[in-house]
Amino acid sequence: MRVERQYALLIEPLLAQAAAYARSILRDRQNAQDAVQEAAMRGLERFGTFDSSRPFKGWWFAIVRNCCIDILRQASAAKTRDLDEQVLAHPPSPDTADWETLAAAMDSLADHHREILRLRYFADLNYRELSEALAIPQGTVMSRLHLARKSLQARMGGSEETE
Amino acid sequence: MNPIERDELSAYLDGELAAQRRQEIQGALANSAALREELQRLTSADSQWRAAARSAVFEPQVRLRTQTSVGFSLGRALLCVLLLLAIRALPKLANTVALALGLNALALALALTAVSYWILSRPPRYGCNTAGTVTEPSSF
Repeated sequence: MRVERQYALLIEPLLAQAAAYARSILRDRQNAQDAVQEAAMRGLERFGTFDSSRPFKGWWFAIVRNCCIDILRQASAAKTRDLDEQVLAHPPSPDTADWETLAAAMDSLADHHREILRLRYFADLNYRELSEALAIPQGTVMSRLHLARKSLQARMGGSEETE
Repeated sequence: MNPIERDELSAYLDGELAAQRRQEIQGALANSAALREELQRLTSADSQWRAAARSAVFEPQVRLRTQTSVGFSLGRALLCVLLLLAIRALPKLANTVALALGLNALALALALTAVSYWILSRPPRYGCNTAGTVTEPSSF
């Protein structure tokens, strides 16, 4: 039971960011809620294998990311509503337009740029945590994040494309 | 001093550089308008994206339950049943009325203790309140 309590205390401050991160991927509040719930349970099951010398936040957000991917796959397999239909079913409201615009711009980037930007801005991971979540060296985090930012700037009407 | 790489500006903005390299970049920024302009562009975009990302935040409701908890609950319930059975068994061992009454009282006390223990020490369940925080374990 102490493990459960310890785990609960660790994820508690991350839940809102996890919800935002999942929402940026799934574009749907209820699906994001489901992804965070699933990640919370999956993380608890695997908490025994967590290496405490590594950043917990990066470890847990990798799980959140996998849960989001699973939900996308399930939706795709069911073929009842694909991502486009989902987005159409939940048109941007005034209070969500900002993040949806940002998420849409990120969607147009290369996979590795989109992933690092989502984790940086929606999940607020630092370089060490990004390194853990994406399983890449910190030096790669630095260069990839810079290039991703330049690409996003270009997509959102900023400076030149550098991708 | 090593030349400033463009990706180091991002790392500078994020506060991810070592102190010495940070000082070197501060010196380079003081001497280069182009570098300052690029940092300004990065900073401005970064602020806008952060603000936009914050608008996606909401407080999810999360509950944690484990199979271990269910096992503990069943164990406690079994203990409770066994002690309740003692209510019926103990008085039959007595050969006097006074002893039977005493054993009845003892059996009842045991049963009440067991039920109280079961109710008060059920395994904690973690959940989120409406503010999205994981709640402390609660007793039922």
